[in-house]
Amino acid sequence: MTNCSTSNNNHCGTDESQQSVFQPRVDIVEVDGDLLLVADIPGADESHTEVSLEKNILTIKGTIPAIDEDGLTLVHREFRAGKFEREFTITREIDRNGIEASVKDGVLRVHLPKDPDAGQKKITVTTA
Amino acid sequence: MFQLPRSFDPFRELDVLANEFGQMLVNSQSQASPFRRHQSTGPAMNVWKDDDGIVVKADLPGLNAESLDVAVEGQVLTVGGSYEDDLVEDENSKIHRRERATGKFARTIQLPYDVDAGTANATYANGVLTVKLSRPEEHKPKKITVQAV
Repeated sequence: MTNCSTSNNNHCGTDESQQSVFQPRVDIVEVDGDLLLVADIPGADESHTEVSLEKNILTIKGTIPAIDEDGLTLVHREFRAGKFEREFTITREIDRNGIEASVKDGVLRVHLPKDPDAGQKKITVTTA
Repeated sequence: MFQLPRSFDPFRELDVLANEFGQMLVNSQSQASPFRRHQSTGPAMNVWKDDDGIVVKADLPGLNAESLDVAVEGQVLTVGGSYEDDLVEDENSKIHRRERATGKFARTIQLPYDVDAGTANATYANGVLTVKLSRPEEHKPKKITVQAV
């Protein structure tokens, strides 16, 4: 069943050689000004996952490791191994040093604390 | 057949809509549509088999392990349970995007052949549930030797 049907992972691969990249499902919640991003990456753990923030683009990417059972015949497939990637534009000030990411039970959690100095840029006025 | 009731919140769709049109503080650059809801048909599953047994794997990230219920009867496998739902909207928090499955789920699938419920084995790691089922010995195909007469 390698057709491009609706699966729970939003991806649309045709065959293995095409190396399809799927986009994991994500929840985004704001708690007291901090952002928490939660992504479903079943099958992957922290060694398979990469989170990076460049300027204001947050990228989560990685690989779900191969899931095949050796010696057995696959008779029904709805999910597959392979790469995942998704980008987000963060439109607020983040404390970049405080970003934390962890993976548990196939769920990636990225905590983006708000920048405590945001909006409070004091500019000292000096005499010329 | 064993089925868990699915929770349905008619107001959740409206909340998602309001959040999307309201303050979108975080935008996604991907092509995933914010309105494509997860089909509540239960977890995605893969099935492998050979003559001795069947392996079923289900994508269940964020599963509440205590809620998991795996039942086998003849040629039917039922997986039910609920997800860890730790994202709650209250006065301190606000949900901007909700795509992941939440609440209870239940799914029943047909297996290629009858299996022995007594020897079923289920494990959960990294968000993937693996159920190993073996075929009753008397059902396994037997080679019949053709003798020359």
